[in-house]
Amino acid sequence: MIALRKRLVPLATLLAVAGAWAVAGSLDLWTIDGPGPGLLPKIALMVTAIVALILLIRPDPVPESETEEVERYPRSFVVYSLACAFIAVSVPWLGFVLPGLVCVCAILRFAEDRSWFVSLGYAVALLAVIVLLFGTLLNVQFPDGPLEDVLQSNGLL
Amino acid sequence: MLDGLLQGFAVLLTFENLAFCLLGAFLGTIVGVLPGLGPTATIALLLPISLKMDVTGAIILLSGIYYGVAYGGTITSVLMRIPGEASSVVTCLDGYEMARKGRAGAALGIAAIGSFVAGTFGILGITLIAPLLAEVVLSFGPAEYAAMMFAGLCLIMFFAQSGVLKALLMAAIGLTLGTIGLDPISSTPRLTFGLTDLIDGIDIATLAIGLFGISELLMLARNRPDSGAVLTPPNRLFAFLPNREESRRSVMPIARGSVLGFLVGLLPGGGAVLASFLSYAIERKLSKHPEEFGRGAVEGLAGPEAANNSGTAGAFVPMLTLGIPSNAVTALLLGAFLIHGVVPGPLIMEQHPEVFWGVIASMYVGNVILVLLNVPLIGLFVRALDVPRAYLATMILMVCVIGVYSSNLAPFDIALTIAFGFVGYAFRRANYDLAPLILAFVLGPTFERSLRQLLLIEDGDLIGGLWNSPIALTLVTLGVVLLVSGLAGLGRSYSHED
Repeated sequence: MIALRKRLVPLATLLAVAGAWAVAGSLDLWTIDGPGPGLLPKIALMVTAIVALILLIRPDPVPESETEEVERYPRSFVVYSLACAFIAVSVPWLGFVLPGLVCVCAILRFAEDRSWFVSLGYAVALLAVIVLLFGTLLNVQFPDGPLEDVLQSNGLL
Repeated sequence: MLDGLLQGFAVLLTFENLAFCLLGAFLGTIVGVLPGLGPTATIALLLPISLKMDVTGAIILLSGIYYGVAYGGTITSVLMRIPGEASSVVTCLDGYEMARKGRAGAALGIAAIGSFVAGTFGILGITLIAPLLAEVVLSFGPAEYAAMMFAGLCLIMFFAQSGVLKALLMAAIGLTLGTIGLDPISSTPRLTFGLTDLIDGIDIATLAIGLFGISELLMLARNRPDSGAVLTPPNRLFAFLPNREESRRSVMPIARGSVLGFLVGLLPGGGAVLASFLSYAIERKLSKHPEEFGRGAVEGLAGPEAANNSGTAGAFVPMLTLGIPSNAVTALLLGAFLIHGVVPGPLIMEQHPEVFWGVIASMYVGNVILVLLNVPLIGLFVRALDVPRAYLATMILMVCVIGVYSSNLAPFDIALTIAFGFVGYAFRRANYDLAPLILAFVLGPTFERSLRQLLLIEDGDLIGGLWNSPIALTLVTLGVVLLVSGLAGLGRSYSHED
């Protein structure tokens, strides 16, 4: 199991290199003007592939280090991962504030076992501080979304 | 030089820049105290925000965080045996033992004094060496530049914690990522997969926030470190003073640590972590009572603490004068310069003297601020550990998201950051050091430009081009020797395992 886990990174890297090579294959190594645009990408991809292959065949003998005494929280990890994925997908359509509220609330409730009241309260407080600090004070532009429209009409963004 | 330094102090002594210096030192100390949240993640998080600031103020703030961390990490190392960040690991060994013997105040005092002396020594070193080095580098051509980048990358790989082979993989991935976008010479799209969002390449903030910020969040979500017991810090200023014996024993280790740390900090791949470990080894070797090390030896605390701080300062020299970062944090600082249109290198002192000398001046003042902040406010910094992970983690996530978006106003960058976060998490779980990746990403474009210029001048004859430049040839040979010896070392460990 550990040997398989150690091979996952080189394996995934090799697959990524294969995909990148398919795109970079058409780039010239050398043109009439001199070194071509494909020179460094192809060299870098070749080195990546060779090293990944070596690590795939003979994984690092050093055991995975766990320097700190830690407790494992797989549920928490899953919730955080889903929250990250949700925010990445939803921002183009829902803006920042609404997905942010949902994410923070979900993380606190399902990953950190806080009550609904605390989760919602903290989510609202955190987003309010971020809007005031970044949007109002620093004039950072927020992605378009329904709540951003309301905040904009009130002069907060 | 003196004129430059005076100009730097004139730039610094405005309300805004002094406030940034104070804020940087304060944030750095907090970050140093909090285990998990390191300087790399914090600077990555603040990179996009720094875009809204004036370049000098931004670099003063980010640099303050970097050298402030070295101070903050000491507090938890001494009082809890938990290193707030990597360069404070060694401090745990003897600092905590001193605290257990009732000398917590003296341990923190020696660490603060040593850090201040070494930090000031390191900054003096930058002030004296950086202009000289810049003059030498001004005569460099594409061959020397390409060779310097190559040797720098090899050094970083040689010192990487994860071993040379894994570091080589990370560096190759970093170089590849750095080539994404339009080719700077022919304007041909490279590795964009037909996505218009990738035409301008990957922003350093997007990559750094993903690799260090989001991955840190995922690590925090999975692992909950033991909080441990906190030994009570002294509440009287007098208690921070070491006694006569402790002072006598700490003088030479601080002096040695200051010099050693600065020299190690100059090396790509060096910096504070390596400096503190080397200093500990040397002090132990030189000690008449090596058996005391690990049981509260003053030398084991004073030397590494000094080395750690002067190493942090030393790492600024190659970054400012050569444009070569020594570690992940200075790579991000280099990125901060670049996103503001300031190119660190030999010309920075001529083109942007206010930035260069302003940052140096801020380091002198920041060092004083840190001593004044750290000693009386230790109790307050320790309380930062009480902030629940849930609140800290969600705050990091939200700041990451809005920070990344604000760089280019592109929702695509948020998705890319999250993706890099998962990739960074996978690498960290498998014990891959991310520093070579970010360094290669930052150095890649300059390396490629120099390499292509060299090949163009020499009509494709790379060996001939290197042969014509003794400096380039020496640097490339050094790089190859390091790489091969590192790989050979790895080979030996394989055969030993077998």
